[in-house]
Amino acid sequence: MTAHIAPLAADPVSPNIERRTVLAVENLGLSLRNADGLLPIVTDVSFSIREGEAVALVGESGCGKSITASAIMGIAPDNSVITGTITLNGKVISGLSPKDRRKLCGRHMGFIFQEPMTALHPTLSIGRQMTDTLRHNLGLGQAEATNRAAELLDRVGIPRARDILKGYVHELSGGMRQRVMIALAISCGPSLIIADEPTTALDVTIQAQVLDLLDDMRREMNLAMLFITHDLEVVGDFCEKAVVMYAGDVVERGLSADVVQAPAHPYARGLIDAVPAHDDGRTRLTPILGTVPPVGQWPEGCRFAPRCNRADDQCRARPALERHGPTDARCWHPLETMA
Amino acid sequence: MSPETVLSVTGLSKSFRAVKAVRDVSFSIPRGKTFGLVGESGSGKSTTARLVLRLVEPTAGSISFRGKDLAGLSSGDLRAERRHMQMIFQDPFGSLNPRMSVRDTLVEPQVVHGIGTPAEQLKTAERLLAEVSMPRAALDRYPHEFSGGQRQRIAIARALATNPEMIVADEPVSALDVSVQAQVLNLMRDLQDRHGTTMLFISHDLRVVQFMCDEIGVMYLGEIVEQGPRDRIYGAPAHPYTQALLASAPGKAGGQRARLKGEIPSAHAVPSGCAFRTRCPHAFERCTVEKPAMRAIGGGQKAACHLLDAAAAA
Ligand SMILES: Nc1ncnc2c1ncn2[C@@H]1O[C@H](COP(=O)(O)OP(=O)(O)O)[C@@H](O)[C@H]1O
Ligand SMILES: Nc1ncnc2c1ncn2[C@@H]1O[C@H](COP(=O)(O)OP(=O)(O)O)[C@@H](O)[C@H]1O
Ligand code: SF4
Ligand code: SF4
Ligand SMILES: [Mg+2]
Ligand SMILES: [Mg+2]
Repeated sequence: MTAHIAPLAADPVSPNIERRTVLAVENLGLSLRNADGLLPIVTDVSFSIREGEAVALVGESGCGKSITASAIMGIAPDNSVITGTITLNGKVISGLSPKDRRKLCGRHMGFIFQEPMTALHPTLSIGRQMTDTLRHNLGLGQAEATNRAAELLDRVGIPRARDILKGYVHELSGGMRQRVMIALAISCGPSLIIADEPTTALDVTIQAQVLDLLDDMRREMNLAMLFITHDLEVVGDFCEKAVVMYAGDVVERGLSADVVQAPAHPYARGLIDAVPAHDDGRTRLTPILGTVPPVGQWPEGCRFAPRCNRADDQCRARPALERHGPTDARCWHPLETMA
Repeated sequence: MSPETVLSVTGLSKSFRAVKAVRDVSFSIPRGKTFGLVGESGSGKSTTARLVLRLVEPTAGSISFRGKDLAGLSSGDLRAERRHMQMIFQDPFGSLNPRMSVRDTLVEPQVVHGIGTPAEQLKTAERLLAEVSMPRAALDRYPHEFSGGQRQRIAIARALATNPEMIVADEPVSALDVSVQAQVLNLMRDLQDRHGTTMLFISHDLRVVQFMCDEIGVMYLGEIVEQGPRDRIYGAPAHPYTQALLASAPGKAGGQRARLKGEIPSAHAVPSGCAFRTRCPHAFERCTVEKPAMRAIGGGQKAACHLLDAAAAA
């Protein structure tokens, strides 16, 4: 097992139980090959997820969260050049052929996307899509697969499961579609679920329902979960650990309670301060100046430097991801934390 | 209506065939204040905004703007009144003409309403750009050359071009990343302070509404079910729906998410009695047969729920 990523502080949920590492991502880099050469999209991403653990991948749009997920799932664009190592249940999968990769992923990884309409087939019935997956991955017969599909829909809180199996995705509300995605994702008994902004398009009331469901599934099936989001408040509620990305880099990594309450990296702090708080009655917010630099236009050294009020000459060199207080941060001048 | 009231909406309803999008909505906004509408998608917020802007015709009810009944205006007078009520939408791409330079985008509304000489119009355009913290060089560029946050700044500048009394903003920051969202929200507040603009502000994001609004109306299935000053709505919500909405928001202490059952029913088939009863954790028999009336509960707060009758009687 790959274990050179330093384990973070004690597990708050079950401190005495040694939990198996399900996913380990080490020094993952992804560049896209185009006419001008290689365009780096993600550089040096490392984190791991243990069984029963939810890890958040957080950051604003364009910072490389989805493409990191696609590299893990083995569905990165064809012109990708991937470096680093991805290990699933102790087996290095980053070097596998696409065919072997797909086989493994169908069984052991489940995916949930923000927009279920892009992942679910519009003109195949929901039942057909579910039974195809079950038959293909688990070798079930048709009748058995249908029963299992109905059980799964029932389990994710879809009423009248048998009727819904005969229906189509477009007939469902956003929340119900997301439940179907969850049913499909867990259908083959995976050890890892990758959920890319699964509740971003939903109303808060439905978001709360879907998060509760994912949380129940994680506990019940002891699932490792990679939860991609741009909302730090969701992270604090829902994930044990958080990995904050900025411009293709991991800039902070730690227990989510520490990252959300006492971040060391100025970008993580900025993300938290920019959100109107629930009750503080401020008359002004504290925005982060400027915008995220697009790929191909990252500054040398610290990529956050043009927007950082702590930047100095030292920041022209690229900082490493290092332990500062309770979390790891990629910063020359990390914020003081309480711990 | 007091002279300080800029917009007053009474009994406003809108049906699209069988869809009851907005039902009997009433509120008013004093000069320089911001009234917020919150609620799940499909609750009728955007339709209310479009009714106020007279982009759609109401099925019933009246809208009084600057003391004039908008329904009674001729189309010419209505066009003239538009100068005083401008809008900002979620997607500035949808509201900015892609083939118009920023200069033309900012000059056009002034031309339409006959404000100033060409030289003055250009000067105003330059001043507006500076007000939204965009460089002068942006004048000759086109919407697609800007980021989402910058496009929203341009849309705000355009909305200000006629020096309107009121701005209707429908989800103006919903498409923006949080760091940029904070920039735009600060900007809107600064401009409002400077110009004394009255605002109808719509968002599904409870945090954003709390930051921006003085008074808030909570909508459910086309109706306002609770209304009142910001601190009352957030500090002492009286309607079970408002309570559930606030408790569903992420980031609450201890991660205790309230579980509001089910989903908002279709506006084709509004439940009898209290429209919220199919999801309300407190629903009882009376809620099925009798529609709760809006009841004032002090401090400028009011809500429509039978439980408040019991509370008042006790
Ligand atoms: N197939 C692709 N070709 C070119 N650029 C891409 C491709 N996919 C993603 N990118 C770029 O990579 C960056 C990261 O994208 P993404 O992982 O989708 O970000 P996030 O999910 O954090 O919003 C973005 O700048 C995006 O434009
Ligand atoms: N032009 C229209 N034709 C038919 N139905 C509409 C139209 N506009 C809105 N609706 C319906 O009216 C209801 C309220 O919609 P809307 O005002 O957009 O809500 P919100 O902005 O709160 O999401 C929804 O059921 C919606 O489908
Ligand atoms: S390394 Fe320097 S510029 Fe980068 S985040 Fe830290 S202080 Fe700011
Ligand atoms: S009237 Fe009845 S159903 Fe409606 S909110 Fe009050 S208790 Fe709930
Ligand atoms: Mg993404
Ligand atoms: Mg709307």
